[in-house]
Amino acid sequence: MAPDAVVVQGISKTFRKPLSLRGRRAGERLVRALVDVSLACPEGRVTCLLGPNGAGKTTLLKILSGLILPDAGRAEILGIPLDRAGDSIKARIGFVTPNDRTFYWRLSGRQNLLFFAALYGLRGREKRGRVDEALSLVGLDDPDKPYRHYSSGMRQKLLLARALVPRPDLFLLDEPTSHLDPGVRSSLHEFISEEIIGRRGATVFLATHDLQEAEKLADRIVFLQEGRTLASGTLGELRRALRAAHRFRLTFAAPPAAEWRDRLPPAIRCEATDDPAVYAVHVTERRAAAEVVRAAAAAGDVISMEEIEKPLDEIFHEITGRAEAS
Amino acid sequence: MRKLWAFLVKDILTTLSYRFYAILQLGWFLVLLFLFFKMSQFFGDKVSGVLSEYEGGYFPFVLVGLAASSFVTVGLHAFAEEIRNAQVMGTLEALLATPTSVHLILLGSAFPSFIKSFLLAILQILAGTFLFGASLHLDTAPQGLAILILTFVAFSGVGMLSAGFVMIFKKGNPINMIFGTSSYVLGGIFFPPEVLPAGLRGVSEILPITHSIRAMRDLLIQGRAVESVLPHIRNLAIFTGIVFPLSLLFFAYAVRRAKRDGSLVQY
Repeated sequence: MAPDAVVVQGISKTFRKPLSLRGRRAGERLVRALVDVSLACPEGRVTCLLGPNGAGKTTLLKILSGLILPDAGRAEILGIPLDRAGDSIKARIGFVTPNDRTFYWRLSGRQNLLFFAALYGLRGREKRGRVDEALSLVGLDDPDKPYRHYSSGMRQKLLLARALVPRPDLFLLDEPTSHLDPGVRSSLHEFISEEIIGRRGATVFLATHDLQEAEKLADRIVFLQEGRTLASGTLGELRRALRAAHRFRLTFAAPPAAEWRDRLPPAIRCEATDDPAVYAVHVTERRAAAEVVRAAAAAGDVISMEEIEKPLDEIFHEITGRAEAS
Repeated sequence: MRKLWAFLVKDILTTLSYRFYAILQLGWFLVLLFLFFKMSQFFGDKVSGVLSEYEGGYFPFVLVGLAASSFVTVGLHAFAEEIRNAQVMGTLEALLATPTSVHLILLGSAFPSFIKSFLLAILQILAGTFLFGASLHLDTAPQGLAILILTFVAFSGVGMLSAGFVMIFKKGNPINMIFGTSSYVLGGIFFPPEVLPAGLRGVSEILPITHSIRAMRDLLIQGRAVESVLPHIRNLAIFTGIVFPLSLLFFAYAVRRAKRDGSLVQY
């Protein structure tokens, strides 16, 4: 098993927000951004931090990049405790914020990267080489155009290019594909999977509220809601962790008699679909599927019994629904 | 040093992208010198009594005052302004995500302004001497520049305190308001502190700018030896020795507090 590039243990953070009444300050409100959050990101994998807006994703990434101090808990980045890491650890982290205002608008994309490369301690030919490499990897057209004339897609690419310049071991990506059209988003997903993970073997910790993005990229998913971790694991582990984790599509050659389902144990849920020859079967354990097949075979000719993977949005709604109910 | 250089290059590129502003900046100081030159001719004998200690001429007097004041302006304002600009523009977050200490980011942000003031002060002295005929002892100019640098360091301490205030309160900067105003009005930039009422003269004596400008004028206008300005240098050094370390500590505290409040990049 790969060691963990990021370990978070019991991190909590509460912000004090001023309250105003008719323009006057009227005390303050406590906003609990993170509550006892613990998680781990294995090395060389993509871990997605999934949650709705306001779940605390950005706060957690900013804590890991040293921009916010936690109230409690501890974190380790690449084996180094965060509170003792100092500035040098930042050379091993590529942080991508969703904020496209983190560049100098009067400079070109290349000039911006050269400046930030110098702040990463790069110099001379190596600096220029790394900048050229990053620009070509993200496929940024016309990097010598002033940044203020860039489209949203170009800005997002430049954000990623800046994170690539120091060749970091860990990428902290906060909503890296927000505001992008599907084509650019898809190519960025490919880039993360093939270049960052595949070729470089780096670790990606990606915050998103996009379920499809998480499903496409994540080796591991952490659900965050209202600052709390609701569940974490691989997609398979999350499916298993939920009741009725397995879903099958049962297809008969011809519609069977409706009573055939009466022979099934009560724990097995079998629902009719629009097609009278097709049923949706939900079982908590995979071996229960054999019982379904036996009962179905007694009722008619079974063509197939295919397992249907539970989509992430269903898992997400089930987990968040449970959290709200409790 | 490489990182400071990167800040300087970035600033030069930005300045050059505003061509009109760059030309205006270069031309404006000549206009300013011309105005003071004409004022000096206009006042003529009327101020010669007050300026007897300074060889009588108003133009060389104010020329040295202007050169020193540009360093005061940079020291006082550059740190706080650059931090606020970075917060407003959104670049502070990206700067802080790099392996660069927050003090170096602060220094690097103000470094281009310091270099600009340094060059401007040299240009002012040279233009004042060769274009407008001010009688200055340029042989003591290197010592004068050393005092300017010490002045910058002294006021940088105050500037860093201001930057700390910006970090915490975002806007509203009592240090600069009090220190800046008193330095410009009472520090002897435009008129000698000797003409002030006794109470205000006392205030003027405790301001570092007063000692900086006096030392500069003693060197450049009167051509005195460095030994004679040592008391002024000592006063500047004492001020720097007290304020500078305090400001470093205060700024570090302000950054830590902003990180704790999550308000580092808020403005």
